[in-house]
Amino acid sequence: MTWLNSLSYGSGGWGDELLHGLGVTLGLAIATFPFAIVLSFLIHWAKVSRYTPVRLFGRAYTTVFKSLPEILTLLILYYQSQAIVSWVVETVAPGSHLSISPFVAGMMALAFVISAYGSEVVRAALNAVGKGQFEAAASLGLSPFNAFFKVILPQVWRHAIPGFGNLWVILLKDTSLVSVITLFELTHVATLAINTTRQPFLFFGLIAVIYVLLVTLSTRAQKQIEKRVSRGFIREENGDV
Amino acid sequence: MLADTAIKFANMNKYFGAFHVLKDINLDVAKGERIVVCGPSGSGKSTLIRCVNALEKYQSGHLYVDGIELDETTSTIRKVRNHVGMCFQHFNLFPHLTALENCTLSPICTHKIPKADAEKQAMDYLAKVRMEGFAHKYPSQLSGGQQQRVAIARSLCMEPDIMLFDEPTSALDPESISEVLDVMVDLAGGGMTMMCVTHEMGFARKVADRVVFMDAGEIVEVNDPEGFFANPQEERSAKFLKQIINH
Amino acid sequence: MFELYFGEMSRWNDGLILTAVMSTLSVVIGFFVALPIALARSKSKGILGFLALGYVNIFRGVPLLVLMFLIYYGSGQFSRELRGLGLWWFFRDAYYCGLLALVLNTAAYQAEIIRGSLDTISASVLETNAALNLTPWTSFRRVLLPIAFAKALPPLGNEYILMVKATSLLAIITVFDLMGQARMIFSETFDLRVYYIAAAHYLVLVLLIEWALRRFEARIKWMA
Repeated sequence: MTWLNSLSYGSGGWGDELLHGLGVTLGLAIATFPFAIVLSFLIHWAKVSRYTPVRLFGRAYTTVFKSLPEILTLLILYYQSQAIVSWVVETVAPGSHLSISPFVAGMMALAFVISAYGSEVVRAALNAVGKGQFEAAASLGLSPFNAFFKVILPQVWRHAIPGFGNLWVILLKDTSLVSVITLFELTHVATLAINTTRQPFLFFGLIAVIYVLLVTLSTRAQKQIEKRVSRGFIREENGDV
Repeated sequence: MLADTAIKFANMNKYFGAFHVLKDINLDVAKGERIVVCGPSGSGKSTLIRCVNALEKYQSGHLYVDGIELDETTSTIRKVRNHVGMCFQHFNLFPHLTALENCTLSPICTHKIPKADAEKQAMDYLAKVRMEGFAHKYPSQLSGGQQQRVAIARSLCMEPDIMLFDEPTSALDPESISEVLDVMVDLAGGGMTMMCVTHEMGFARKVADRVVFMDAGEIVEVNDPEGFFANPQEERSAKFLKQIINH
Repeated sequence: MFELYFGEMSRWNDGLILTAVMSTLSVVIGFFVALPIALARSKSKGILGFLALGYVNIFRGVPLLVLMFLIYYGSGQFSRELRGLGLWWFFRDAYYCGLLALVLNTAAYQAEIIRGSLDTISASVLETNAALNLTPWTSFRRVLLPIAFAKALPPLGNEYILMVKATSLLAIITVFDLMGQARMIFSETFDLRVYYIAAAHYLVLVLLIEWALRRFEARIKWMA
């Protein structure tokens, strides 16, 4: 059973490295997601701004990040931010060196891409909440801040959870791309393991199973949350006003 | 401007793009006066009252509410809205809050009233609309008429001087309509300034001081209810009345 | 910037063509793989429905990059067996392996799209067809199919765009699509502008496809 040895935990096998890689994969996804959600709202607001340049920026942002392959976005952001940082460091303190970590580059790229799609989730959810709720809040004299946080936002989640849940799954899978810029997440660890063990099917098969399990768990969790959030709205869904 | 004027429209015009929705509106509403606005759909009657709490902007002329001229600045709009309560056709209760929480949200958040006081006040107003037994229910657990009564209580919690009603009964079944109208009649008896867009002519006869008839963005006729129903002065109002009576 | 584009024009064009061919092929082949899966998901409650659900969940759960690695590099572990079966010509070729991964992936997504549009056809449509006394074949061909197609078209168009972007992963397993050419030119020049040129290609390609889809959807406005 040589294949079991190569998965064992410790110096002989790759078990511990894989576990660490799984940690990095989850860490990257979890660190990126809240950032992407906040960006989604900001980009949505940019797209409905009354200032034309802001609106154009919002539209360009979504068009660009939805059109470019994620891997290209990642490479451009990684190399470009590295170039900018090196230039700044060279100007401020000649001779010293600072490099962008693949984790940070991955976070930026994934957050940009996810938020481009996320801004559409936000738009649909706000539409579903309806203009009447804004007007009612305004007619009660609530400030825009209070209207958003006390009235609109609590209702937005219910409509946004399926969309954001979908994006979470996409994000989870897209973390595998960051292996290309040598972040030691699951996929990269597997390629390293294969270089020494020569068992590509075993390792890629194994991580494929891990990804499928992560996605399945996420979908389950999403269903649970949806159920919980929609409690108390059942009659309304039935069209009984 | 007279001290006892609550709302004053002076040569007011509003456009949606190129479409002239409100044409040269002139109307004074006295304090404590109860106005019923009626007219065919698309006549601009909802838009007219939505201007009063700045849910719609107007493009020319003047509009004074409680002596304050409405402009587009946030501070004026917020000041005016503190004096004006509004009830919507579809109630627009916040579905994630109970009846009581709907009522206390603005007093607590905007007027910084302590929670206990706000709740006491809200319970009083809920009692006034005969909904005190439903304070902890969510909107989805209430019938349409009950939701509209909570919405009225919610507006009253702002202690407004003026109440606007935008077709408050047109989304309701006949039974609920009378529940809501009863509450509105009570309210009218209490001396509140009211502007009410409605087709409930029985209500208009009973409580209105004046009826404003609008068509195609213009005020066609302003008359007391007896005069308006018995002897409309304009051909267009007569035609409209005939249609709703035959209906 | 210009010399990076015009100097390497033939490579950029080759890459562009390969990207277009690979994405179109995978979407078209994927559609025909997806049809029976969608029917099984929609109509079968038994073992077929279960297998279809398993297919969809697995191939939507595995990142495409991992799937490509698994098929292209993973098959290497069984090269002797595959030679014996006479299948090695397929699995030793990055182009075929990449295409297979793309097809398996898009078929899972397209199956869900088609199932969704089949399921939204309401009972009332079926009743109407019965009331009009249409034969099952006419009902399927003249009513159900057009409705299902019109409903599925926007999401299928979206899927096409996603596949154009997904083909870029082929570059990682040494295929010279747009992204592959860009990586190659970058490795020779170390000029970051190479990637911006690639980005411009993708942007134009995606916008063109979107424009074409909108024109096409406008023709079947009756659905909206």
